[in-house]
Amino acid sequence: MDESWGEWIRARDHPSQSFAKPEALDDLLVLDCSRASMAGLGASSFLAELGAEVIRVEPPGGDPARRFTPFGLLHEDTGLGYLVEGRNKLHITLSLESEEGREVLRRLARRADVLIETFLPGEMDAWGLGYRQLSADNPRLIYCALYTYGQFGPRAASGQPNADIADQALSGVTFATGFPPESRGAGDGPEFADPSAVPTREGNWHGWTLGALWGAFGILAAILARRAYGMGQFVDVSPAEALLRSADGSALWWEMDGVLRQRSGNYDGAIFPYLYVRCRDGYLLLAAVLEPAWSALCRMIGRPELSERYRAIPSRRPLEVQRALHREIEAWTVALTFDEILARFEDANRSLQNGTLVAGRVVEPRDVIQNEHYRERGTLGVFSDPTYGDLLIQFPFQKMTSSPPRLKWACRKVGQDNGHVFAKYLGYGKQKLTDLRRRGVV
Amino acid sequence: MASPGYGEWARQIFDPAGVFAKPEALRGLRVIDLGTLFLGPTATTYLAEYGAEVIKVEIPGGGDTVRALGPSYPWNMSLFGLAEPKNKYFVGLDVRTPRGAEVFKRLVARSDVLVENFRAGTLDRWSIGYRQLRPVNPRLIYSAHSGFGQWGSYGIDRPSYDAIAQGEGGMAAITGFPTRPPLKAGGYLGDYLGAIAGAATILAALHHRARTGEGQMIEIAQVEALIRALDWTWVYHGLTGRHRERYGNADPAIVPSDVVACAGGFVAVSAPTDAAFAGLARAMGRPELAEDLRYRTQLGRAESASRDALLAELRAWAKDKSVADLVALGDRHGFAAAKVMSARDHCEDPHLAARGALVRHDDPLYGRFPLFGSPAKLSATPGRVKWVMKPLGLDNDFVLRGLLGLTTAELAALEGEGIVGRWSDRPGQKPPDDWQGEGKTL
Repeated sequence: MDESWGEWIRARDHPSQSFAKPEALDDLLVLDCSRASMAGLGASSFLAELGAEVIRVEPPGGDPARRFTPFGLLHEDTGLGYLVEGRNKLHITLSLESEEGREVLRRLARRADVLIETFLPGEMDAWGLGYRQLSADNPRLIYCALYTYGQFGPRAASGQPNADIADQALSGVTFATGFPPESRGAGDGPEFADPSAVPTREGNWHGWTLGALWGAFGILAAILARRAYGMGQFVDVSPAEALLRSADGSALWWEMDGVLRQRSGNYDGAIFPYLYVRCRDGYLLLAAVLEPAWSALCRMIGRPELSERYRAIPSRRPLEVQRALHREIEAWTVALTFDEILARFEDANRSLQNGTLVAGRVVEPRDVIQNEHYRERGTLGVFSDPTYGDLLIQFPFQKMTSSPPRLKWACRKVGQDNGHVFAKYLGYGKQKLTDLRRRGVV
Repeated sequence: MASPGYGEWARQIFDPAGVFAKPEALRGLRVIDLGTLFLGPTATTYLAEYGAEVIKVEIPGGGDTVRALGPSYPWNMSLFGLAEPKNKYFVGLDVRTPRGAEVFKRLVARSDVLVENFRAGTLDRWSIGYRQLRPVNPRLIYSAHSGFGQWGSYGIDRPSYDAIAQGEGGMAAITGFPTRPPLKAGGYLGDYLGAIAGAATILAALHHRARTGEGQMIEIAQVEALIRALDWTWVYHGLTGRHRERYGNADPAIVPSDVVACAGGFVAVSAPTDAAFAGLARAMGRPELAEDLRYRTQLGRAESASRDALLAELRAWAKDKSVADLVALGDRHGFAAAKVMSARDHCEDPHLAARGALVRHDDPLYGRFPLFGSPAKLSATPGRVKWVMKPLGLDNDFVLRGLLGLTTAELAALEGEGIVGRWSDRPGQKPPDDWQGEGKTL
């Protein structure tokens, strides 16, 4: 074992070798009928990156999700959100609003392993395309529906559309994220002066992201169950409930201790210091919760008495204490660059027995883009797409030694693969397709 | 429109009361959890909820840091210990010692999956890394979770902290308001994202193994999972040269989508499609907005000038409405309006209770308390909670005798040397004060 661990594993899971290796899911056929939801698209992206053949079924006018794009920007008539999640999928159009289109979907579903949809609960069912109907023809089908309120329960029939911001709000994460109102008497509410001290959503579509991953997890668990028990099943995922699991412990904290997890800005509700502070060239995460790190930090900033005064962790928990200690720490950090702080922490850590002083950078997106580490690891980079040209885009995030994920293409235009897919799965040629197009089915 | 009876049918096939009458998706799968806190262990929690037999191996004396995390200790167990680990078996084994490593290898030989989240290369140094374990069990799926990956030029020797990942991946930089610093989430979003991403990837690797017999090593880096999750951030930079900023609660890619302050709280309001926007315009008593050229389409609304005007109008309209009014209007007119929910709201919500998204878990050791349920509802093989974190080493006999066949004399010798051990007399590790042996497996 002369080779270092890093060299050994790099030689076995570097993504440059992906295309020389098999794909984990390339025996699966997936129909993604999602509409106006990045949760459905993300679930099928996960499966497609790992090799599943995913057929994206869009209405003839294209999925409204193709219009989710910052400031209305389009690239080749495609919104930037969709551009990221069209990956490795074959794109066809089909009007599910027409009986002929529905019949085509039924025929595809007989051959499929998985179907994903994001309509209102029961809408597919009313079209004769629900799990009840499709499983009669294909009992091995795994049918995954993603909807903010799920398929059953008092709110399932609310009629509200899927929305990431609703998922985030319902999850409890938004309630606990953001700066609290200043302590000087001001409360929350519309009359409150500072609109930046309010419950705050995550900048990315994090509700949809968690919904997507839980959808993929549920689908794959059902695939393994199908291997064991022989039948398919219905998978019901609420992205709001998926993100709710990231607020874990908060229900218990409320009911057991009467503590409601509140927003606390860049502090942690339970421990200090574990916060973002300003330094000369940006912000950093600074953590030194356990002894002897906490005392070492107080010495370093020239306030050794603070570690005596606030020795017990709970004594540092109240927000006003965190604010006061934050000011003391920042008075020191603001004069130093991140690298200088990191160097001092590493120095101190060498002489500490247990517990460490931790510093981490809080970077801007451009720093991520410029960081050689991520280029080298294939985390993100410029990808030459056959349809959309050169795109700076994120690659699959997993490294795997035997059946790694990969990016084959980033996205396709509306209906771009109609010819290929209809010939491959239905035997429809040019004539038939022209016919269907004329009647508005594709 | 859903067909009549759909909701009732869906409720029946997913009925939370029927869960224990159904089989488990991952039955027969044995998983070793050799992790600490959330990034690694929570991935195995998800597998355990769907039926995998998860054996959590901890260093005797201290164990998983989650035991010491508090913030309080009902029944002598940390709150996060009650909330997070589920259905696992708890073994105290010092894998850092040669004899402990030998026992550990016997356990690996009998297992399907191993998850760890030590710093890159730590287990390799202890001679129980992937390259030493693969010969012991070539079918093993070994998932290593870390901050920055197992190899590369940046950060790989650093411990993985959720808030570092949020900072280093760019998530904090795009969350919050332009007038305030980058914002950390009110929850360990980076850890939970890595956990579900890892769990879903493990299932894909199991599918590959079922087809080929081949095990493999998986790398999950939580910074990379977050970079993957930041939707259009990277393509936007590549195509425009501009970098994504903090835009507050208003989504620049879906308009309108915002968190509005209203009488008595905050509500997320969103109209992700043109039809939903027409509904919102009706609710606002301004149906003509949906005909206005500036607002008629998603792309038009997303242009900065129309967006700002529209959001100002929305906020002014919502200001005097109650939370319940806005939600009811969303239901009636088909746009998204969701309360920014707190943990207290979760505990009192009839919808989450009906779905088993908030369960009143009755634990064999501790009694009754609230937990969030398994987010992927599977109709035939649903997830479930059986028990939560037990005292350290409580299942030593069940695993080391029952599975590995260690004798009383061997166990006594290992215990004598501190290689096998149980809890020490500290909250987070020891049983409840009135413990009568409940929850013990052998």
